[in-house]
Amino acid sequence: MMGYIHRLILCVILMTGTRCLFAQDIPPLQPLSKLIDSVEREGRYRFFFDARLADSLMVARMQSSGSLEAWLEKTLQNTPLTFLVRSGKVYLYDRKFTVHTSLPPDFFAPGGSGAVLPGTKPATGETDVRLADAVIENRLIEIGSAGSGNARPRITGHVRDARSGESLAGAVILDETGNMSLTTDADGYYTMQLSPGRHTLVISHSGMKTTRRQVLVHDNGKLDVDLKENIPTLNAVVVVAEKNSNTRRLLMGVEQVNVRTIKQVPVLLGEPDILRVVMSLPGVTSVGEASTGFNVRGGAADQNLVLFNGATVFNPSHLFGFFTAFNTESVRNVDLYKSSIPAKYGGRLSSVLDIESREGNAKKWQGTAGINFLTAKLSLEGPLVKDKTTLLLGGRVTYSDWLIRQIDNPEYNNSTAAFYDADIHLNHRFSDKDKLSLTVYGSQDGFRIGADSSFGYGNRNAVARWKHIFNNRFSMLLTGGIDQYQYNIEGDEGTNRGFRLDFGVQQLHGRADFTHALTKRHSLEFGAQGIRYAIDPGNLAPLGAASDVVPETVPQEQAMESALYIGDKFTINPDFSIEAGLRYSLYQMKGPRDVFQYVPGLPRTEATITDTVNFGKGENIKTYHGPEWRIAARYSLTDHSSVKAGFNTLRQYLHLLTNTAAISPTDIWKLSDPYIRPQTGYQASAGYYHDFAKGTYESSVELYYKRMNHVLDFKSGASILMNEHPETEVVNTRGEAWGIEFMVRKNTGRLTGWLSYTYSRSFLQMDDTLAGQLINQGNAYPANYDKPHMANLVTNYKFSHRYGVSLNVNYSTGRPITLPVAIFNYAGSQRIYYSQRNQFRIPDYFRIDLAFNLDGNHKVKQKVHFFWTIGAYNLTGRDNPYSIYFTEENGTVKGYQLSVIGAIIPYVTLNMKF
Amino acid sequence: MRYHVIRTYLFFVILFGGWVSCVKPYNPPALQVARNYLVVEGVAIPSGDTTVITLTRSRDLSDTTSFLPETNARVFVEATNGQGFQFTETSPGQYKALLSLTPTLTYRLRIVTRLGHEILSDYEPVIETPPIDSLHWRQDGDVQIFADSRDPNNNTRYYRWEYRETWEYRSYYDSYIGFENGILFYLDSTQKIYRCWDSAVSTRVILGTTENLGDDVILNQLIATVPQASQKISAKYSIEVFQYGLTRDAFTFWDEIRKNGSEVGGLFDPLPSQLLGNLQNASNPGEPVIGYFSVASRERKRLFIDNNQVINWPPKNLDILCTPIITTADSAIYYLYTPKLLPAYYITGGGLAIADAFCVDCRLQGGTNRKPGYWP
Repeated sequence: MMGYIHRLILCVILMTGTRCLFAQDIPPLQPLSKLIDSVEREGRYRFFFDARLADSLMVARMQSSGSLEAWLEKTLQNTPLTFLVRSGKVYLYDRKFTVHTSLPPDFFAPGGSGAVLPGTKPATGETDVRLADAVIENRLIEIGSAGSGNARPRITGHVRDARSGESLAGAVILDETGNMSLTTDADGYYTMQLSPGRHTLVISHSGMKTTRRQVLVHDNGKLDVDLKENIPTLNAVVVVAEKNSNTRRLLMGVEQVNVRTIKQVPVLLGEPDILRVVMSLPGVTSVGEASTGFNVRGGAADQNLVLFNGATVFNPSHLFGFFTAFNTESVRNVDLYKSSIPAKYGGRLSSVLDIESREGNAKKWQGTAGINFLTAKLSLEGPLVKDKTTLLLGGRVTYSDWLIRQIDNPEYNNSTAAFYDADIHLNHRFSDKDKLSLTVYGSQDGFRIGADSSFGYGNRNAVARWKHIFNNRFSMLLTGGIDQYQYNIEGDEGTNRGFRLDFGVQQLHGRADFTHALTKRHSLEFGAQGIRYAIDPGNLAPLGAASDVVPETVPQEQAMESALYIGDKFTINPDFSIEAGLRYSLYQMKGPRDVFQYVPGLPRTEATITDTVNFGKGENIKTYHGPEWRIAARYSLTDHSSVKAGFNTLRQYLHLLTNTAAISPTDIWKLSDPYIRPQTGYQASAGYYHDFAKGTYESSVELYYKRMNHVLDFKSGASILMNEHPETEVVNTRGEAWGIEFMVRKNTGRLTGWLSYTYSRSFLQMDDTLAGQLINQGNAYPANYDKPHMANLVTNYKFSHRYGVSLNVNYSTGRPITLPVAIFNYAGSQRIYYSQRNQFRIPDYFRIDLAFNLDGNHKVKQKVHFFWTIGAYNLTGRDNPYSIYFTEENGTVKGYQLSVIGAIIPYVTLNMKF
Repeated sequence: MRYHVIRTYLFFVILFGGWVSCVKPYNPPALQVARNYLVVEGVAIPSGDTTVITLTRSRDLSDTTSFLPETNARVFVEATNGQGFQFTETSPGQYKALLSLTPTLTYRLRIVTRLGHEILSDYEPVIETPPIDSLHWRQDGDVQIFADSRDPNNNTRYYRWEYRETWEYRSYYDSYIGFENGILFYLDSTQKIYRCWDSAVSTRVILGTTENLGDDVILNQLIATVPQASQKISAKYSIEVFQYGLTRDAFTFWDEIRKNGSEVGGLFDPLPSQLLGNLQNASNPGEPVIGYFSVASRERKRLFIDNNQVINWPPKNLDILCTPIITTADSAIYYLYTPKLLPAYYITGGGLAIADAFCVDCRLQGGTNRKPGYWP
């Protein structure tokens, strides 16, 4: 009844009359909404109606010279709708309802809405929610009873998606009265301290409709909020991001990417790709098109911690880096911390990429399926127990072999490539205070070349998280799990050299994280973390009956990393806040292990090994420990501008040994040992943030300077596979990076996206006295991913809620390469002499991508909804060089440049929702 | 084994880029200063064969000179105990000596350049290379030639091969008529230009190791590939394979040369690296010397392949190019003053067939008509 109507109180559109309505002779059919639109534009009347009905309802445009009422009567005569006109407002509603023009007398009584008073059950019934939604924004909700005497009442609550019941992490709750804001945690919970009295809370979340609550606070209490999905066509919705802008956030250098954005960005072969979008953020670069790793602010690719629901994913890529190993259907949010890294994270030097999955629909079963040139995917989600237990399953598989067969080369005929990934998420809410979630993730790649060689790699992760809320102020998150990465290579099958090589890294981890809202000004985060590492650096075995390969195993490495941390978010006043954290980590390499001893003061080589010291099982071989400082501060200059500064120190005990330009799937993870020290580093950064046009545009400038120590590089001709003493092959290197990042971002409206420009440099310098010959004689040289100028434009424009277009523009300086400086004759051919590393650059990189997104109709009753994306990657067809190389051909040296993507790559993706 | 890994990536990087990728020639930017580093090549052969040490200079990439010999240097091989041998320069940059080295000693190379710089190598052990067990070949479209070897003492472990191919080929016409100074005459057997022999040396760095194997046994090591229908096996083909044992460091050096020059520049390829040889410029330590001086005996073996042993080996189709011009004897003289034409055969009953010189004189295809001594 009334509920039907008032949920559509959305738009404030002026009406100017109905003149133009009566100009036509033949009444054509058109959507009711369109008709209403044109009437409203005349300015005299406002319409209130259920958009779902009006969208799908076709009506004839009737001529009428009479009153509005008469015209409406005529227009709606064959529809299920009827109307009511009251003081310039037109309400359209179902004929089967009767409308009373005054509210029932008990309407404002407590208990009739979604607001929950202490001790009462939240109202979740379908009708109640709908009813509540209309009025609740303007209703005064009393929390606690008057006269409780509590000087600092605290309210807690849970923010959810009204439709699916999923928790909304990162929703912003702003107290307009006190000018204070906070965000919900990973599970959608929040705790807020308010002064007694009346407050207006504005609750917003990206992609959701912002809502507000009027509260009168007396005592501690609870306020749960359900947010509705933002329907983009109805564009009079209050600006969402205003108070969650970069200007307001305390931490700097945090980039949040909504999965919706990720899905809109045009991509290679139509496969939505998280890492590609991350790489278009300022400060993030990569070596090239097909590269597994990404580099954040001049850091190496192994210095990024990639977390999927708290599980570390060692190799987040498929097909050697062409695609990311996460199915976007399961992902909710992606946060990249590139500057201020909260004290709870540790173990990597450059950044944290925190990927959180969705919980799954808590109300009904639904699914999505998608297909493109490369992959097919399916995801299913729904309640096992309604509103309590949800299950989300996602899977993706490739059938890319047909692509290989397109290549006109007999060498490829016997080759295959395949990958899949699958993830399972189970969430159970025991009570309002306890929640358990389980995530299982696996990815696998397999390749076969010809008849005798094959190669495979994969991730396996399982993680469980239990969230417990002790009270309004104090909550706990326990996490435990296992992370694995392994690869194997088989080759020369059927000969006496036939072999199989296996590598594996595994970590068992557990952590406890607590958040405690100490006072209104202090919010504490503290916890402990432990990781037990086990690395099998190599196991070589014969393959085939003819093989004479001697089985060999490089002994397992084991270590324990523990850390304690505490951080305090101190709000000095609404304009000035500080977050200070300390993390103390302890690393112990454990036996059993034989440690080689070297002649002191000489370069470490096989020839300078003097002795072997044997350590027993569990014995401490080497201990490293140290503090890590995390400090960030924000000061608001005006309502729309702020400055921030931060300083971080970090430590990293696990290294990736790689001597290729990009990290490759068969690089070896290595634990710190008596010779390979932990990487350490610091970053100092400062930034200025400004919002324009009421927060529609966010702009920022960030500066950073970064230092990294004990980064590993290789001696010339190093070999790391099956090497029992990698310390003889590596060289200590020091890294230095600095840069300035500009960004303008628009989060709302028809046009959304960002434009960024970065100027940054990143240098490495060998400073190891025990290295023997130094690369570039010990002078600094640009890192492989040093690209001084980078500009990115990522945009999406919505014509309507069904049609949109996305455009990407990428520009960057070409990456540094090493070119030969001389040729010489040797053993019958010209040979190449390379000198200084990375002194030249490949030509600049430029690419434009375009995609059209066509959504099916949004009829609620329709069983299956289709979404099409048609796009083109590298629209200009520019052949961006990927590398330059020199080969000897028939005795002479020739130079070539290789472009991996040297043409336009069109694609079509079909997704469906059911 | 380690090459395998790298090859795998490459393969897929190219593969996935395969249908959209493109490769274009690239000319590197010109360098300000040419790097003329001394290049030392040669393996000291302990006894029996002549040792050749070649000294050249490296040059700029754009430099089209094929060879920059380092002349007038003094070259020595010296033992730790003072025993020494001096080389003599037999042609520009080529220094030769017949050595007689003691297998238990270690030896170094000492060079004093024309400008007085002293170049020294590390002391290297004398490696006794095991013999090549066998050479064998297989046809799978192309012909592939393999070597087997074994060191019963399991000592050698690192191997390098070079080869020299020689092949006989024929011209289109087996002509027995010569033409000189306006006179036609019959050729004797030494003047015949119908059978020729050509040769080529290996340009690829061929390496093998048994470091992960139980026994020091090389099986089916690919040495050379002759593409299908190549002229090399149009009549008879021969390959002489040379085998050298290496130290581990020497192997690493050769492997770097190989990688720097033959692995395509994919992202998963190792970064190009500076070559680390075992030679230093003692007078100017900052100036690199390119090369690796080894001491090893040389093992060799020869294999013949006859055209009738291979299948699907069609001769090059020259029927059109070699269409003869039939003339009378008088006008033949006129035609033959054109150097491009040569007499092919007499026509019974009068007249002379003349054809393009290419079809008659096999030497025009690059070889010589002098038969090698070992040719059967």
